Amino acid sequence: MRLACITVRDFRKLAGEWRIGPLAPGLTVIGGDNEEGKSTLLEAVKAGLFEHWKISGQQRQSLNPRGGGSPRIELVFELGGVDYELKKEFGRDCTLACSRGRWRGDEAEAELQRLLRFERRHGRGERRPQHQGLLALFWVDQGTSFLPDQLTSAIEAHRDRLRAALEREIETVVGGTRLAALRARIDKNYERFYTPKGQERAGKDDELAKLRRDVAALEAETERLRRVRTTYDEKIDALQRALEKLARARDRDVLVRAQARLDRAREARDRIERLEEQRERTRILVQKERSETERLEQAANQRAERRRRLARDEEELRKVERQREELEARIERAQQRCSNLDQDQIRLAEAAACALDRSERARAARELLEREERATRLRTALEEAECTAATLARRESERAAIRIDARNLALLRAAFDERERREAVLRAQATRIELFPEPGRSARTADGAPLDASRPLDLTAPTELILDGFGRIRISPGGDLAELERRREEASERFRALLDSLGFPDLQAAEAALQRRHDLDRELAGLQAKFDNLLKSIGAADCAAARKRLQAELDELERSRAALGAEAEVRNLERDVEAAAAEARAYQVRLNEVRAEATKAGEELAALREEDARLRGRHEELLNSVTALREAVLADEAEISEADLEAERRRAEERLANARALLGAIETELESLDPARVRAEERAAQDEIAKLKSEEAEAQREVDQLQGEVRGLGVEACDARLEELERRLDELRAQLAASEREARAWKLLRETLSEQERKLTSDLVEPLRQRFLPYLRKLFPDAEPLVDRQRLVPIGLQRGDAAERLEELSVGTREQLAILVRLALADLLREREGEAPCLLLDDALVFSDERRFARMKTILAGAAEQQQIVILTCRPRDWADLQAHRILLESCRVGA
Amino acid sequence: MVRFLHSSDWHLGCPYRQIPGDAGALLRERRLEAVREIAALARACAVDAVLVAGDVFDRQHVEEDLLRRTLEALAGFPGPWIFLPGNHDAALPESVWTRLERTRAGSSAELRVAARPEPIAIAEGRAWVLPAPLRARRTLADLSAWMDEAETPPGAIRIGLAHGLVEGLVPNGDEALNPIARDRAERARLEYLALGDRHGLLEVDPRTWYSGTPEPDHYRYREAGYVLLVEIDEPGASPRIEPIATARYVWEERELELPPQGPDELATRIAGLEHVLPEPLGRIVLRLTLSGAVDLRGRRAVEDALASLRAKLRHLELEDRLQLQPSEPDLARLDDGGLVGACARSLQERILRAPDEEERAVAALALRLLWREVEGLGTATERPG
Repeated sequence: MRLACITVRDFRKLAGEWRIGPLAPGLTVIGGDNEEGKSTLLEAVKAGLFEHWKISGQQRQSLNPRGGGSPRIELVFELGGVDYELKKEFGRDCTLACSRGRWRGDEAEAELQRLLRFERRHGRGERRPQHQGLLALFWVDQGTSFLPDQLTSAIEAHRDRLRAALEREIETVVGGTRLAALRARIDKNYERFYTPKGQERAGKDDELAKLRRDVAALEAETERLRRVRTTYDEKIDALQRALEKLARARDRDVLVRAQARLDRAREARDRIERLEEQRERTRILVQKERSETERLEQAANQRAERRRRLARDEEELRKVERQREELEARIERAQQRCSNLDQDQIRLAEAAACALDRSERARAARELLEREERATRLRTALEEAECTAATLARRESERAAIRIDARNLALLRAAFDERERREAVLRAQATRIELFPEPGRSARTADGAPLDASRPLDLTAPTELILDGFGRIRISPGGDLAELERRREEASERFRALLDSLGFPDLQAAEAALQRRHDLDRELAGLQAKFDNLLKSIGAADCAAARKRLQAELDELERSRAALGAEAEVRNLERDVEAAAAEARAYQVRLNEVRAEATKAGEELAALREEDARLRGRHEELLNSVTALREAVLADEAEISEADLEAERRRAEERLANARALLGAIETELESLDPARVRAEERAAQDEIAKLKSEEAEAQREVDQLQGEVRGLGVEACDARLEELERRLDELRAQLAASEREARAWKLLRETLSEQERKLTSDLVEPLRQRFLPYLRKLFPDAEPLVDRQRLVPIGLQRGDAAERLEELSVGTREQLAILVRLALADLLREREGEAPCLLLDDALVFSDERRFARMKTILAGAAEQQQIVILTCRPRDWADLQAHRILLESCRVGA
Repeated sequence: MVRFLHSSDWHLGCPYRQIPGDAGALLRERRLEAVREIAALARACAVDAVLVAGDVFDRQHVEEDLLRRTLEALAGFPGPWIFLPGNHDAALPESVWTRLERTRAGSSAELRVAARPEPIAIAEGRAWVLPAPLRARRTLADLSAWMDEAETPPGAIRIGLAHGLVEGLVPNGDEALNPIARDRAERARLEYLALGDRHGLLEVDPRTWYSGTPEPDHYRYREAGYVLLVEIDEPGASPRIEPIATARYVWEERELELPPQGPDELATRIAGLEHVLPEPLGRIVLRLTLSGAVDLRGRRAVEDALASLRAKLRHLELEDRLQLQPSEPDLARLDDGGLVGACARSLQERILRAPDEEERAVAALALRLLWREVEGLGTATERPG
């Protein structure tokens, strides 16, 4: 679009008629003072194009001039190679004419709207970018060019048109109604299965969820029915087993065979019971006959036994009487022997006592002599210990008197060395006088003492000398000899004080005393060891204890000596001690032998007496027994005779033999019948019959129960239902699988479409960037533009590693960037649509510094070669260096 | 002489789960109709008995209504019908047979369920049927072995009736369930051994036959759909056997590999099936396996052709292994140089490169959906501006 001429009459502050034009196809600078109406002129152009001629109310009033009148705007412009002339008088008329035709009123407004592609504002709504078409992006009001939102919202409003231009750039199609319809259909199908957040729809009526629920419900139901069928099959199997069991239980042959076995067993058992009864009776008879036989036999035996015992007792009685006679003689001899031995014991005991006494005295004498020897050793050791103790005490006393030790001696030596060092220092500083007197001459000290001229004289203090033939001479040594002297004296004083405190005349004496002290220490150690060994040999803790012990020994010795008598007797006794002991032991041995013999003889006598007593008792027993047996034998014979008793015994034995034979026959028969086996067979047969009957009853019960259960399950109905459900389940599963696949396909299709759209959108940004970059580089050589790939708007700059967002930049920079973006967009539109919109800037670049302003002017001048640029400015001089068509607003008033 | 019909494997109550809808219902109903036709045939041939060698019912728990309808279908021939329990309808303590027994009260036809291995006299004792019923669902024992020792009156014709697999019939087969000795007829001195279990007609030897099912029920058995009319003149005589066709529906199985051709050619290839299938098409149950690769337009043509074919057949079971390979014209049609084309190419890439078959299938479907939607919008892509 290119504006050719603008005529405004009675529009706000532009009272009267103003004609601005012709405008240049390139750069036009319209200058005017503040408040002169530059911005009103821009508003008038916008109103002429975008406000309906019929607007009323406040909107209309806002256009009215201050002095009253009807606002009128006439515009001549070129669009798409066609020249248009627009005349609009608000509230009255509107015409639009071009070579293609002429429109009036609303038709003219409609044609204008179609040409400029803007949305009509309705009512009192706020004016938005879309209400001014794409031109709103390029017509920048005063003080708004730097606002990012202004630019962004303008681009947003017309992004489709910009995008269309960009899309043509890469000859692709992203937008358009057809593609929108395709997207809508894909979205609609996608949303059948998924929520906008991509979650699978799980609502009650949602297709997949409903299918899944139906499938799950059918699966549960079919599973339940399968379980019923499985249960049925299991019960059928169980029924078959139960029937087989029942058949086995009802097997008649088995039962008949068992009953026959039972009958045979019972018959055998009856026979056995009868035999057992008879055996019991026979056993009683045998017992009875055996008792009678035994009784008779016992009676006969008792008689024989009594007679045998009588004969035996009579014989023994005689024998006992003979033994008693022999025993009495032996007792008498033994008594005599015991008496003799008693006498021997008395005599030997007396002799042994005498020998023992002698032996004791001899031993006591030996002990006395030994004690005397011990006492002597004790006394000697004690005396030596006491002597050692005395020496020890003296040495300790001597050592204690020596006051010097190693530390004291070291101090003393240090003091001595210090004194010697001070002396040497003093000597070194002394004034040396060497005299070389002429023969016969001498020298003396002031007090007249002669000086040895052969020896040099070291003076450390003023000294007066007398020289023969010369007189007195006073020599005063130089330097600080007095101080050295004082120090030497102090060292001497400290040395002397130490000597005095330790009590030594000199250092040598102190060293000798310390040596003596060391010698004494060694001697004391030796004496102490000797003393300790002596006490140890005595076995006492100290001398007093040793003394006490010696006294005890001496007392004991005294007592022993009093008991044993004279010294000579003691020596004799001591010599006989072995012989006396041997005699005493011999007597004792003999005495022990006699005592043993006497004891043995006494024991023999006691044994003889005991035997005598036993024989007496036995004799009496035998007498009684013989008497009683003789009486019993007589009584037996009187009761029954021997022959009768024997006959009766034989008869009883015969009856017993008969009964035993009968019992044997019975037991043989019983054994052949084997009662245990018969009873076991009977029990087994009974058990088998009972078991068979029980099994039959049990199997019958089981069969009845299972048959009831099987019929009660109603599996036929289940089965029919299961078949139906399984068919339905197959269908539903297939439907579900198809729906799931379809859902995934729609999702994939939608995602693929979005992904490709993102990729293409990204591609669209590049053309814009390519056109923006040259302009940008003229201002910022190293900068890269940052563009929102979705919204196609610049969002900042990348300079080096730093990304700066638009709102973070200075106002001036933002304004410059905003104008550059507009230039880039204009280039794009021009290239793709054949023409660029007119760029109209009202007081732009007022925030730019001079350097940038100059560059921007150059850029705008360059751009003006390709498109129309109109600059409204209150400072036209700033633009004077540009090659531009210049217009002063004040000169545009018609009739001025 | 004795004359009887030998049939087996009626599988009444077979659900045909793989065939949904009306086609499945018709096939289920057809099995009962086949029984009615066998009854009519028995009456027409004046046979002494009809021997059914097992698997009369598809399962033990068929519904009560089916039992009643079976009795109604059997009523066309007064009997005797001799039914051998097979592995599907074994003679269990409580079985479809015990239920049938309870249900049949009042039925006019003479039904004998050979639930025990005991000789059954037919034709007034001229012939004796030696049945080998299955009393469990499966067994490894040869239940027909008892026939060797079975006693029948002198001069009577011996007819074996068994259900299972003749040993050695399946080469290299594992140990078969319900086995039957191959020489059973000879060892048991049978004039004829009527067998069931195998759904196709088969002559094992001149005296041993499988009748097969009277109405085909699977693509596998092409020789199914017969009943055998058997005549035996006297003991020791060879049987005369006449297979009588009873099938109504034909189960066909075809594979079609479609080359990457234009849509018209593909449609023609599929439509060409109509000419190679037996008439009438309304009795064909077809399992069609499609393989090869087609483009988007070809896919549409194939689907249209299949829809047309499906409408003519009793049932079409489709194994669709067709791979979608969008052609350059496809993509050119989608690709107007813009977003749709880019999207189509991305999906095509996914179809070719996705490692998972399901992913490839989803991508193919997505491309087909895109195609459909773009087609639905019209041919030209509007350009804005």
